[in-house]
Amino acid sequence: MRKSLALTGAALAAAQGAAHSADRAATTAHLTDMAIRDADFTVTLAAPLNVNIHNMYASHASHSSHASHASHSSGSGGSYRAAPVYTPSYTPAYRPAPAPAPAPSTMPDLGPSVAPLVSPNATRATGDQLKMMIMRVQAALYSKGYDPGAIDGVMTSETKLALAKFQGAHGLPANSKMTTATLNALGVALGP
Amino acid sequence: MHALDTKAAMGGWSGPTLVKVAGLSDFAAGQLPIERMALDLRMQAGAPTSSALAALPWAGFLVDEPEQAPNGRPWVALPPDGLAVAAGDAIEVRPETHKVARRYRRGGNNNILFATERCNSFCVMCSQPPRDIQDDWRVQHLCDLVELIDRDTSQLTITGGEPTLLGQGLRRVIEHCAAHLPQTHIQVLSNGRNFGKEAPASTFVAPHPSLIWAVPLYADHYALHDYIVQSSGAFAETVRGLYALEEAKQRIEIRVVLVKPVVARLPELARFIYRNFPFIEHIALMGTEPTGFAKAHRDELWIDPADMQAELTEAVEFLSARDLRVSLYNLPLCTLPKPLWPFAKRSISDWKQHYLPACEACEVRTRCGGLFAWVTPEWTSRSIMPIKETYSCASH
Repeated sequence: MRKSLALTGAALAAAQGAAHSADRAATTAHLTDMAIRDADFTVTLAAPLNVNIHNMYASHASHSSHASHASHSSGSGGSYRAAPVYTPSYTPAYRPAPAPAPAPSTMPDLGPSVAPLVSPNATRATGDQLKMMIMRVQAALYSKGYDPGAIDGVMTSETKLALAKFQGAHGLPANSKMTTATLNALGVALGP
Repeated sequence: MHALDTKAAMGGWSGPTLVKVAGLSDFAAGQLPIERMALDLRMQAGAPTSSALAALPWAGFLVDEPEQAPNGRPWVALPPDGLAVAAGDAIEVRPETHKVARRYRRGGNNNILFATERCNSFCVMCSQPPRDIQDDWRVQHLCDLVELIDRDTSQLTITGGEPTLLGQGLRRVIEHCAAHLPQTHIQVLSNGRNFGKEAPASTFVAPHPSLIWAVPLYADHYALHDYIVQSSGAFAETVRGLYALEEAKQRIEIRVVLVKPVVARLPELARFIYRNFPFIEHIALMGTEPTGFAKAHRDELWIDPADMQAELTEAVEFLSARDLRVSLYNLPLCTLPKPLWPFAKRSISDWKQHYLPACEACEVRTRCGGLFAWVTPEWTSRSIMPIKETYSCASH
């Protein structure tokens, strides 16, 4: 993809260059060549942690069973390319058919380590899973300088307050919920 | 300089030998099963104690004192001034020898996957003398290690020994890197001699999106190359290996270690590379690492970088003028003529990089790769001296 971008840019530049001298075109060609060679060394920025994974924790302490579908934007701050569009009707069992083998320069397949935590059909977290996820969120909050109280897997008022503060500081709705955007910003993966 | 392994106190270790050291953010990230991580409970880690956290099925705990570990759980206590280990690193815990080795350093500039101790060459300046032992177990070991390495690691080097002696095992390791570290640049150090035999180059077609083979070539003539690698017929095999890699559409770097007899024919070697291997992506001209066999052959091998400036300049200018990328490794800036400075890379791994007292006052130290930590006076260039940028301007 980077190569194709470089080539497109080059084609445009060359079209423009054609109006000028042949010298200019040669320079453009040289620059294009360098850009293509550079492409082999560029690093693809990481995609957000949780892409196309059903977040069964987002609606915790909420009456709306659809709250989890509300957010799909990246909170991680990293730019990424070709992020799959999150379609609310997906459950993980029907994850989109794998795209054709990823070309080296496109977003990598995130592999098994971000597979859903439990059987893909589950939409509700069990008590243990929920406790574990809350502990992860507490640990992330603590390591980012917020005070969630004890790391004990209980959504205490202290933890909720810390979560809301974190959300506020990161431009997220301060609702104390473990939305996908919040988890991305915290660096918490939904699996394994 | 820091060692890569250390004696350590430990108790009850029964879990996996390779584990990732987990801080709170690694626990939060949840990229690995708890069973493959050791929780860092040391004071320096600054994590709050939490019985709920400690009750999870960690492989073990990193502690200052054994009492810090939860009752009856496996623990390791590293000596305070020994091996530096921090969250994100991967360590190997060996209860039978009471040793802990660091196998991956988070943020390190040169993490390696050590493929095998065996080698089919016997280079006079080898820094890692080979041993003829059966160590195919390393294939599985490396696959386990790869799973513990951060996905945003920019570069990894597969080295040995001669990695291709693992045959299909090497392909397995590379495929494992492709699956777990698709964004990491992989560099394999190989003499290329095997690409017609046990590990044909076609074995390695596109298993990883960003992989380069770094192949040493020491001369434009078989006799000198075969002498340096102490192996008759090696030159012909390496040359065939280079063409086999090119045919398999692999990216290739040529590495030249600058020992005395090689330097003498360096300009000829540069022309040989240009004429015969124009498809090479990068050429690294490297100062000798004064360890291993090199120490035993000091008189035959040592040439002060100050005395190779003419050959080095001719070779670098010849290659770069023909659009071949050249880098200089392991050569301090004060030993190089200034026009060659842009080619010098900070190539010495952080854990073995070192500066001399003379470097204290140097103004370009932050741009300089320094010296190998095990450098001795007889391996030190006479031109080591602090550089004052203002003086060099005045000399214009």
